[in-house]
Amino acid sequence: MRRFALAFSAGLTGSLLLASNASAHGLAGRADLPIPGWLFGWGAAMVLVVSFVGLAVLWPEPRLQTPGWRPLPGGVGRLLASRPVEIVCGVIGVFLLGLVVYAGLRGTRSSSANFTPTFIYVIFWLGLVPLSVLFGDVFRAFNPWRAVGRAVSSIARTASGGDLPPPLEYAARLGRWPAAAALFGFAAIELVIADGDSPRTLAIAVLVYSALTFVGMALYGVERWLDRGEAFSVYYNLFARLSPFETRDGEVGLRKPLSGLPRLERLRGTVALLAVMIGSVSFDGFSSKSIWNGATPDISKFFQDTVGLSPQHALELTFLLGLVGAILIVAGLYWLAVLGAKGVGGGFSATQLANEFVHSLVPIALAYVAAHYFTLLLLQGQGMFALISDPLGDGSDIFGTAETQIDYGLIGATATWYWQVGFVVAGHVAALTLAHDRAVALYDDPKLAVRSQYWMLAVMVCFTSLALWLLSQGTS
Amino acid sequence: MSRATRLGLIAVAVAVGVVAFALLRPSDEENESTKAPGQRSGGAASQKPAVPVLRPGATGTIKVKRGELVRFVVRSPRADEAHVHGYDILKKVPPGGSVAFRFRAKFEGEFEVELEHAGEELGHIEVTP
Repeated sequence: MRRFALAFSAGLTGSLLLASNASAHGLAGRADLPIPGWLFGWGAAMVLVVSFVGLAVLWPEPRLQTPGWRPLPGGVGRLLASRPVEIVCGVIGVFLLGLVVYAGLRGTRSSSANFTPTFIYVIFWLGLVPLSVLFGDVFRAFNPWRAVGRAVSSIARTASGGDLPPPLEYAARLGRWPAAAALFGFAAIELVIADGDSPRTLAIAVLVYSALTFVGMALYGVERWLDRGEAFSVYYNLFARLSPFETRDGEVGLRKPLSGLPRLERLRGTVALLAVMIGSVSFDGFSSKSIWNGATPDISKFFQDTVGLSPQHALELTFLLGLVGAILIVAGLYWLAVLGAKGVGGGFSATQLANEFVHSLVPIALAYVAAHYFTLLLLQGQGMFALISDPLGDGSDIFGTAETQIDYGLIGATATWYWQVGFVVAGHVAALTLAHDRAVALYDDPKLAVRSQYWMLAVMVCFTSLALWLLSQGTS
Repeated sequence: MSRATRLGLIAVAVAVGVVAFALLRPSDEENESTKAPGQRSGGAASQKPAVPVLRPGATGTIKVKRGELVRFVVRSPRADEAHVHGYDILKKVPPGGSVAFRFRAKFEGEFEVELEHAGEELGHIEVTP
């Protein structure tokens, strides 16, 4: 999101002298420094070492496919998943949804002084990721659409005396495609649309998406739609599967690390979903770099001259193509691994293999998000202290914190670099572990299992190196 | 492969990683010795550094190490306010005139300098450790 309000305004004035500097705008006034060359080299080397050691030492029998789980001690698990807690969380979620829309529509038009952009892009979009990974499916508890959907359906059931028509059957070919499409829409607002961080745009987008979600829930049932169609439920649930916490039969309990992902239901559209997740973060990283910024004026000029678009739309089209291109590259790489793995034999179809291994991309997606955005969350997230006291940007000071400044010294560049490389390497380790475990579970012949993994591993090294390379690129 | 061999391999890999990290990482001494005193700007390594001028259409990156002084001048054809993000310093520029900035670089990272009302980017300040 830290991109191109500037590029856009330069384009409008027709000067197009944005050459090397269309970056780091919008909400974030600060960008990470590129990781130094030696650390890039070390990170890349570690990824290779880890990969080969992994191939050699990982277990020969599957260990993560069985769903071990035990409830939290002392009834805490039941309490956390109880009805009153659910209602309180749901009310908080609905209140925040209302605040986001209200502040977006009625508050100041300045994106940094309004509650809505920072809440959506930093607290909701980035903050929920570590919460999900650490504590499980937190978003499910606070999901305002779920709360409203459940309240409405329970009222309707009571009012109709219990004979509501059953929801439509959710077609298998839909799979997770609606979620992938909506997530792409979100990425396009964030990264492509010129005023994607304007409070008005965001409030309207939230209203439209809420309406779509209610329609989806009305047609297919609340839980079914949240499980497959609602983008954010699906997105945070994927990350929550990395968490040791899991709710079963109304009780929160603990499970084996990494054992949540192998149980991901194999549904269509999941590869597309992961490609959108990884591709959009890659593009956000890439589009702030000098290589991209050097090329955009020319591409954008081309669209102005040949298609006759306005400078703004030409630039948006350029960014849209960049985003789609990044997603297609990610999807293409994964399919390459799948086709390679199919080539080693075993009698599986490419679609089958794609579905069997796609869960192993989740830690890679997490590593991308963590490495690219954790300073944004840590630093820009502090902006929330001031914004909760003055959500509309009208000078009020509800909690007395409206003057709180962001401490940009909270984390230095060196610590940032180590964390970033750490995230990328850790994501790689988790991904290759998951893929390995699936391979030994899937193939009867251990030799085939290992040979299928050469392909998977090569592609994961590509993803990981791409992440490191993006982190090492300068913005100007 | 036995359990001991496995653990051994992992131990070797970890050791290789740690040693490589320690060898590659530039030591603090090196940092000190390569640290030139005073202002570093835009790669121009002149003896007596000129104060860089930023204006719309002629943007630049000002590179300093943390703790050094950041100095630059902003020019604007129109009346506006020049804003250094992150450090959050805001100064008025008269139409056709200029305003000088001078402050200590205390946060690391890359920070944008912008003409606030026109929304035009003037350049970046890059503060390295």
